Parts: sequence; C-alpha cells; structure tokens
Amino acid sequence: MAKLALLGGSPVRRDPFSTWPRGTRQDEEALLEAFLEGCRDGLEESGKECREGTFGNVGEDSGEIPRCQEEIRNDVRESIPVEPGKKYSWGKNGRRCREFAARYAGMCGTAHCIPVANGTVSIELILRGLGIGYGDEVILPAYTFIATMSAVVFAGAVPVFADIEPGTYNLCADSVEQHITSRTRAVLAVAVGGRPCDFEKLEAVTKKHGIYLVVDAAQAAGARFLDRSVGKYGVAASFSCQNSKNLTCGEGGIITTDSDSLRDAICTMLGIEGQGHTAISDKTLFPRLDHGLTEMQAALLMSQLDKLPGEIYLRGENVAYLEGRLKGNPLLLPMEQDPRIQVHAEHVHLMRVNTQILREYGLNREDLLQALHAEGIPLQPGYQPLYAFPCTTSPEVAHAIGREIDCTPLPVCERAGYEEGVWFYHGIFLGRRRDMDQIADGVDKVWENLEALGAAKRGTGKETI
Amino acid sequence: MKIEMLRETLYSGIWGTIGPRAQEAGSLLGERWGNGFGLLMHSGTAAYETALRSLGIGHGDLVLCPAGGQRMDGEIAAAIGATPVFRKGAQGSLPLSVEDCRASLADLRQVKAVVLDDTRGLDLPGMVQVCREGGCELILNMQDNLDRTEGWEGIYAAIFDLGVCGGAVTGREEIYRSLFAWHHCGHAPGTADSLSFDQILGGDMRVSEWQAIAAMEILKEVP
Repeated sequence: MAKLALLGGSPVRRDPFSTWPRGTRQDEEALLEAFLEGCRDGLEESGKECREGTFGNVGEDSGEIPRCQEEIRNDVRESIPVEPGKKYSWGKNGRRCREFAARYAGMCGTAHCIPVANGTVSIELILRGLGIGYGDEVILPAYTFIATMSAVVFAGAVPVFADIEPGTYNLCADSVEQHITSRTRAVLAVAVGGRPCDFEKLEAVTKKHGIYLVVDAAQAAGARFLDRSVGKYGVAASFSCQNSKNLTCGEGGIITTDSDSLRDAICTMLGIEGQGHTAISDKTLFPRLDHGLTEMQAALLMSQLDKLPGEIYLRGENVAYLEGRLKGNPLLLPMEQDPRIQVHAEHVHLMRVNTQILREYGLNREDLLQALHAEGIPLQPGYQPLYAFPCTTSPEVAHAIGREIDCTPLPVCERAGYEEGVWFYHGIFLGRRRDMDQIADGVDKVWENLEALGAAKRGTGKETI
Repeated sequence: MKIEMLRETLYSGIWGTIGPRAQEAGSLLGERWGNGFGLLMHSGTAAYETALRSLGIGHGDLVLCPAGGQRMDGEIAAAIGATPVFRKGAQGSLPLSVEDCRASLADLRQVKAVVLDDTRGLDLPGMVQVCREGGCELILNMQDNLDRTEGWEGIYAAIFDLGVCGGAVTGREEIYRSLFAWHHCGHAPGTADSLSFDQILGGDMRVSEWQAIAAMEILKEVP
C-alpha cells in the first residue's frame, strides 16, 4: 500500500492537468481580423498607410509573415469601407455580434439572442426588461456563484433564498413554492455546474403562481433537458462567457429569449437600433446601459462555438469513464442520474463526499481535499451558501433594496456548502484517459490509507492534518 | 498595435478576469490622465455606475447633475435607485460654477454626489471644497476627453468612455481599492480569485484582455 503524499509518500501525479481556455490558430485568425478591422479605420483616418510594420513585427525572426495574417490584411484593406470621422471602430453590437447571435439562437432554438458584456449584467438586463425592480422579490438558490445574487440586487430587487435538491444541488421546486409571497415576481433557476434543473417542476410552480422563470445558465452552454436547450426554458436564459466558462471570450454574456417584448426592452437598454426590434418609445422605463459586447469578443466566440460540440462530447466521455473507475470507491458519491438530461455541460463535475465514512476515521471533507491535493488531484470544495457571506447583510445591500435579506440557513445548502459538496473543474475532462486513471488512482490511494490519515490527524491534535 | 501581444494573450489562457493587459491598460489610463490610479471597465456607464455604488448611493439619495449634460449622468443615478437633480448655473449657463454648486447643496440635504461633465474654466479645487463642505463627493464624467484637467486630485473619480471600454481614474488609493472591489465581485486588488466573499457585494464590470489591448492602442496616442 503506497504511502500518502501528505504523510511523506510520492504523489500519484506531479504534472498539471489540462488548462483552460486554449487558444488555437482559428481563434487567432478570427481575433486578428476583428482587431485589424478596427485599427484600419484609425490608420486611414490619421493618414498613415497600412504598412507591414504598422501592425507589429509578425514573423520578424523568420522573415516570413504567416499566410493567414497577410491574407487577412489584404482582405481588410479591400473590403472594409472607411467610416469618416471614426478613429477606431472596435464597436459593440456590430456585425460579428449579430452573426454570433443568429448562430447561438439557432443552437438554442430561440427566436432571439443578444450578446452582452457578461453573465451578470445579462441577468440584470433580463430582470429590468421584465419590469422587475425595487420592492419585488426574486427567488434563487443559495448554492451558486455570488453574481446570481448581485444581479438581483443591482436590478433593485430582493433576493430570497430557496434550498437545493440533495441529489442534484439544483434549485428545489418545493422549497421555491414555500418561499413565494405576494411580492415574488420571478424564480431564478441556476443550472449549477452545467447540469440542467428540473425544469418540468420549476415551470409548473412558476406557471401556477403566475411568476417568471429565468434561467441562469452561466455554466451551461450546450446543455439540454428533455430535447430542448436550457436556453429555451423560462422567459429568458442568461449565459456567461467569462474566462473559466466552457464557451468563453474572456469576458462576455448571452441572453436568449422567445419574447419579442423582452428582446425589445433589452435592445432599448443597450441602444441597439433597428435589427427588427421595436424600440420602446417610453425610454424613461428603461435606462440606457452600455453593456454590449465588442466585435473582438464576438469574433472569438464564433470561433469557440465551432469547438463546443466536440468538447462537450469529450468531457462527457471522460466523466463517464471516471465515474466508472470510481464506482467501487465509497469516498466519493455521484450525483443523481436523470434520464431527462440530454446533455450535461459539465462546467464542473459535482460529487458528494461520503461524510459518514470519513467521520468513522475522525476525518472531514477538508482532510480529504488536503490529502488529494497532495497527490496532485485537484478536487475543489465548491460553493458556500450565499447567505453566509458578510456582504449579503451589508448596509449597502439593505440600502439598495430597501430591506435586509433573509439569511436563515437552509439544510441542504448547509450540507452541500460545508460538508459534502466537491467538484472537478471542466478543463480536466479535456485531457486523456490516463488523466482520469490518475484521478481515480489518487482517490483509491486515499481510501486505502484512511486509517493512517485519521491517525495522523489525531496525532496533530488539531482541526486539520 | 503589436500582434505579438494579441497572440501572447490568446495562448496564455488569460483572456479576462483581471488579466495583465487590463491591469497594464488601467495603469496607463491613470498615468496619462494625471498620474492617478486607473481602472478599466467594460464601458463608461459601467465605470460611472461603479463609482456611484461604491459611494453607497441608493434609494432616497440625490445625485446633483448638470442640466443639459450627458444623458447617463442622471439616467444611471436613477437606474441604481437614486434621484438625479438637475441644475443650471444662476445665469442659466453651464458649466455649474462653484457658487452655483454651493447654493444647490445648501437647498438639497441628501446629495451624495455631484457629477460634472464640463470642466472648462472651472475652479476644480474650489468645487471639491464645496462638495466636501456639503458632505458629498465630486465625480467628473469626462466621456472621451483625455485632456488633463488641472486641480483634479481631490475629486472622487473621473469617468472615461473609450468606446471599446470605459474606465475610472482616482487620486486616492483607498478609492481605487473600493472601485476595484465594486467592479470585481467584491474582491480586493491583488487577491487571488476565490469563491469566498467579504464585505462588498460588488458587480461584474470587468474588461476583457482584448478590450484592454485596444484601449492601450487608443491611450498611446494621448500626449
């Protein structure tokens, strides 16, 4: 039995796992074209020529300029008209944004798609567009990233926390129903880790009470439930394209909706004219918020979108293999299976720590994580409940929404947040089978050495090893 | 623009969430506009909103705006729940003079911020002093005007709109730290990103590395 790395043995793995995001030549071409297009207008305006050296010294060492960049420069010079008076034109809500929006709407099956600056303002825009604000309540899970809550607060509404399901860590429809009041205007359901929620139950609850269902699909690009994209559930869905996300351009967001009126409201706020939408004539209803996406970000998203299906497939395969390898190991328990989930985006692969077994050895989740990290296995502890953070009860938040947020602990959130919730980040699952084998080997090694781990902890006499 | 910078960023795996280019461009903005602390955000309205929220402005608070000024001066204040109050100069002119501002603040008791977007001929230190006496802060909405403004050091923040993104510049480090936290989920500058959060429920007003690189291209032309 090999000795734990934490106790002086050799780690199972020393090399880092697969990183994210990963740029490719295709991404480079797309970005470069968008940049040069913006620069060209500026150069023409200032009277400078589009000389080779103006754009930098590509391939200086070899004396050669990569073919794609030369072709791009020539195409840009010939095809892009100069806009008089415009210095640079790395604009927002431009041609590439519209192309990406059309593609993504097609992928989700929605009538409309609006690219925006990030997956937090996207939620805020949806809520504002629905007329939700000061004095209104929005129900959301306490087990999610903080931006879900800050978007509600920034729209002026009161976040009301509901509990999660123990087998999925997604929003529990029964708990939602218990928290509905006369002020509730919407339920904000988060597809945690990229796993679709039980939209059947959530839609039934929201329909029954005449309130909106909004989907926070920040981590769920590509996910599908009952043969529909997650982007097609509720009145609207919000996606994030932040650096860590499965579909990323560094910073970005996407709104999908079938609602013409919501689309019009959001486009009015973003200052997007024409393009088939009807500008809201009473502009006092909606503030002008410059939360648009630039052409460069849209260019990168188009390129990334080409890769998404293949990456989703690879992640799914690796996750299935790893869970197969871990089946005989009682330390980590899988989440509940649900045949209605057609595609799980696996932004993070959630699992649950077997706290009962760990307690028998005087150990807890943090001890397990410490032992695994020493073996080179990057299992993470997941979210803490949002109601536990000092900022949730800060005077600024109370001032912004007109009252304090109810921070009563929720039992399943408590267990998930402090005892049993863990996850692997998605980048790992773009690796090879050998990577999955080493993860499983690391977990097996800790299982085999639980007694030694427990003894080591007792020996320290401390809370941690 | 250096294509190598673009390539390096693409293959670095850091495309956003406070990357090195965003930090570099923020510092450049601060430096260009008067050796202050600069911070890029995804738009000028995002920067202005962040400044207002960092002052704790919300329902019941007043924001003094110049009548006939930029649309966003009052609109963003209203969007975050405050009430914009519009004022002209005593002679019906703009920009507001120091005396105009003093008179307005004497009338209105709950002004938390004064926003100006025209500093031509303005006694800026005098305006800062009047705001302090009135218990509020001064924000300059500079839009795309990157010309240095004399005597700006006492203001809360200057807001900029570079088209591709926006930004804020302040002369005080504690204000910079506050703006940073309010624009990046409450995290303090220089701290590693985590899923643990402290006192500030910040928003997400960050800029991508691509916008930052483009901003550097614009800023390098500023004398």
